[in-house]
Amino acid sequence: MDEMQEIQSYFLEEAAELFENSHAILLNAEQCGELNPDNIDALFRDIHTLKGGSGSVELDYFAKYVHYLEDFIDQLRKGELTATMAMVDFLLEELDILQKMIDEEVNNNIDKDEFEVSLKKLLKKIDSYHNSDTDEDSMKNTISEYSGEFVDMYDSVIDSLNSVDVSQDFSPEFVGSLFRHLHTLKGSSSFMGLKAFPSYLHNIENLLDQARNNQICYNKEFNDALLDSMIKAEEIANDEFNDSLDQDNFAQELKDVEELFNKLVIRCDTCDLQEDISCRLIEEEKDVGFELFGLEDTPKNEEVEEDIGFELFGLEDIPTKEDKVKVQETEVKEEIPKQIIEKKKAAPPVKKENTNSIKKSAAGNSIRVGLDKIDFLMNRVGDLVITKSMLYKFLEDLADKYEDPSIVDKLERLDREIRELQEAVMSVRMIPMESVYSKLPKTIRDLAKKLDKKVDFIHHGDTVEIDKMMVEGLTDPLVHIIRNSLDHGLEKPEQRVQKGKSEVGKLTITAAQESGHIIISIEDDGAGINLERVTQKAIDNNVITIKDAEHMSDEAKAMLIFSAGLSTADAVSDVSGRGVGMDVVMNNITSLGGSINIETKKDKGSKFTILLPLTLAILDGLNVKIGQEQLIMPLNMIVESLQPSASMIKKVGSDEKEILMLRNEFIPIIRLYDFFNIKPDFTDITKGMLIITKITNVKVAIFIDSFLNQEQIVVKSLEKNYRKIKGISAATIRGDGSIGLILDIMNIIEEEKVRAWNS
Amino acid sequence: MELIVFNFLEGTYAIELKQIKVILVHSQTNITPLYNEKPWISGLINLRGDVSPIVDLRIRFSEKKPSFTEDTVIIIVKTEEEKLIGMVVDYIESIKEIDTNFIVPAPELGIGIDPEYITGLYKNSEDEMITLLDVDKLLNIDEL
Repeated sequence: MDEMQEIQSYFLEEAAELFENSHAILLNAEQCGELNPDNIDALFRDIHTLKGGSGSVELDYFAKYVHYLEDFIDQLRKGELTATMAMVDFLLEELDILQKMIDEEVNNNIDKDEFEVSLKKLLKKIDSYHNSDTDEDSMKNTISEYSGEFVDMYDSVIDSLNSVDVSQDFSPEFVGSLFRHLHTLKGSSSFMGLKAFPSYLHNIENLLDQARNNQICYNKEFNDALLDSMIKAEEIANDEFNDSLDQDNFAQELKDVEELFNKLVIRCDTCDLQEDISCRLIEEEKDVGFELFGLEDTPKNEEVEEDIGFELFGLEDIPTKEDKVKVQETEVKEEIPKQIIEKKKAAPPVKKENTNSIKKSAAGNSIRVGLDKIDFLMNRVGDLVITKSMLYKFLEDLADKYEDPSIVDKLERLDREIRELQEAVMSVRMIPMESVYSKLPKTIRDLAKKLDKKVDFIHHGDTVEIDKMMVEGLTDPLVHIIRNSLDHGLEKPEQRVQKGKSEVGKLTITAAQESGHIIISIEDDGAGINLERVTQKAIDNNVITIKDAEHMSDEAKAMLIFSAGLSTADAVSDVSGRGVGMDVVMNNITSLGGSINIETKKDKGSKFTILLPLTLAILDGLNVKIGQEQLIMPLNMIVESLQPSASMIKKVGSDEKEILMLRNEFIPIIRLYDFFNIKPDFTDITKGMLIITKITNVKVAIFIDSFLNQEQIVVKSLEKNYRKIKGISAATIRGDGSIGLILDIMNIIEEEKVRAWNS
Repeated sequence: MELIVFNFLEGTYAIELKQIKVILVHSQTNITPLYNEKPWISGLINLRGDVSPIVDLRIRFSEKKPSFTEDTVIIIVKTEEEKLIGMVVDYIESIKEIDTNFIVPAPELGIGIDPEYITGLYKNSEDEMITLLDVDKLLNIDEL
């Protein structure tokens, strides 16, 4: 079962890509205003892959649902239905349903009743498209003109297939009765003058006959396959009644069912469940090969025609027929190995072509690796870094006794090599921002539609690379900010026109890499944040006092939207405005070790800038000392360090707050020993050290006793076994095996603010 | 049910053996203290490359300053929150296989520890009494 879960997880990854692809296709179609044949083809391929994959990982409900959708798209592809823009909407909705369904089924909490309801809805919707097409009549109406009995027989077959799908009772009695039903259906249809339909049924009947004789096992999969082919059979009958049967197409269908037949035989003969994967591989290759051989295989077809003749003349001659079936069956069995070999040979070039056309981006020479494997690798590198620092420490102790410069050289070399190794492993975890962006257009489109707004989504920096671990934490905040911008920022088209702006709003996301950081900005050209209202709301909700508000800069006021429970939307809307969301943004970003700031201008728009470290796993830290304690300060936040003279320290305000005057800047001072309640060596600022840190334009001077060495540290989460600690972002393992604490400067500043307000 | 029986604050306590991950000798463990945390959080340790917090049960349930000897141990348990947390106790008494029929509910009063953190009392024929601790409650992150 574990194995199946593993395969499922691979499939889920693939499915996510396929969904994204399909979304992109449909959104593109929507933008262009037409669903052209290329789009439909591409969509069909994605959906087809989705179906195939889901079936092989035992997501049966999902597979069933996708199947009908695939059918529908297939009809579009073949021109049996005309693509309309309404269909694009419909398909997008269906994709949403599918995504939900796949989640539910993987977690085993799919609601069967609900599933049936959605499936009925889908079929009804598809039917409604058919009915609006005047040329096409539904099969049952057409057939009922000829024979009600025929429909009844067909229904009884379908019903028993469906019922057994639920009961899972694949007893020999059931198979026997199914066989008889099918046989009667075939017989009566050929009496009615149908040709293609009975010959198609004949193939199914053969299959059933083998099942009846226990030559192949009748299981759920087999049942599903039968259901599928019966539905195809219905189409064929329908076409035949309407005289619209495409002979080539029919040959294809026949081949299909035979293929199915072959597949199932292989499955039961040569592979156990354990060999499922290899079996699937063979099948996939066969699929491709099959397309190559396509319709040339006419002799086979003739054989089927002969069969029909045979049937017509001697319907009741069962012994002969059974002989015939057996003969055919052995033929098939002999044929299979040959077919596989042939098709295997033929497969590679075809496959190559296929992938090229379907997905150019995947053409690179790449493999899919589980994140846990990379994490493992990363952890080993981390251990190596720790071991290296142990070695350093040991040598430092030795250095007093021996002096050998060559060993220092060698250590430096080791250090360099470990760094390179670490960078190489890191780079494996890096993925382009494109993969973050690709999820957004769909969200934006849905939202804009809901809100009746028009928006142009522009993104830059698609190739900027970001740690895969970071992506998960980043997606939510991005979506929240975008929602916020669309809901509160961008105005409705009329309002925009009134303000002299273009009717269509602009939402721009930019990603860039800059000095060890990733900077992501989300900019809109909407109304901007209403600072008065935000401030008033914050005062009403006791986030700040009126007095605070008087002293606050516009930037600080804008940042108030990140406070918990603050929503300025006049009415709670569907989209945003419940007062949750923006504080989630702040939490997520800080837990990624990043920061965020806002620039906003009335009627010009707002810009959110997120600053993130390049990676979460390893950082360069500076060891700082307070009394007997050592703490680690992330190097990327440090601007400079200095020992101030008394004249540089100013005391301001009634509470005599200490401020460092550095060049022309006034920088607030935080005494770290005070924050952590540690006994320091110095309380006099001029005796210790000030480290100037900078986070998104905010500078703060941190007072410590002294600083020691700088080293590369491996970040270990505190939340894994514990929880967040005030002022500490994470921990690391030091060279001597003890724990080192990494300072969370951002959090320290926030906490200090709270403390200052409270006192 | 197999129990590990230990002692702190002159009382006999136990938890199920299967909840235990590892037992460390306190005197040989390097604990990094934390600041601004509750007094019973001794600090963090390096547990095979991961960081685990240590809770001193003696400080948790008493005002008295605890003493540390060679017998003082840290029992690392895995809680239902999937967290590995260590608890400091005075010493380990034994490992005991017990009959669950002898477990009775904790009385509301009179055993020093809030009944909220107790799953039951084990009383055997020799009139020996063992208090079964509910580590999932006791070491719940919100409690620390």
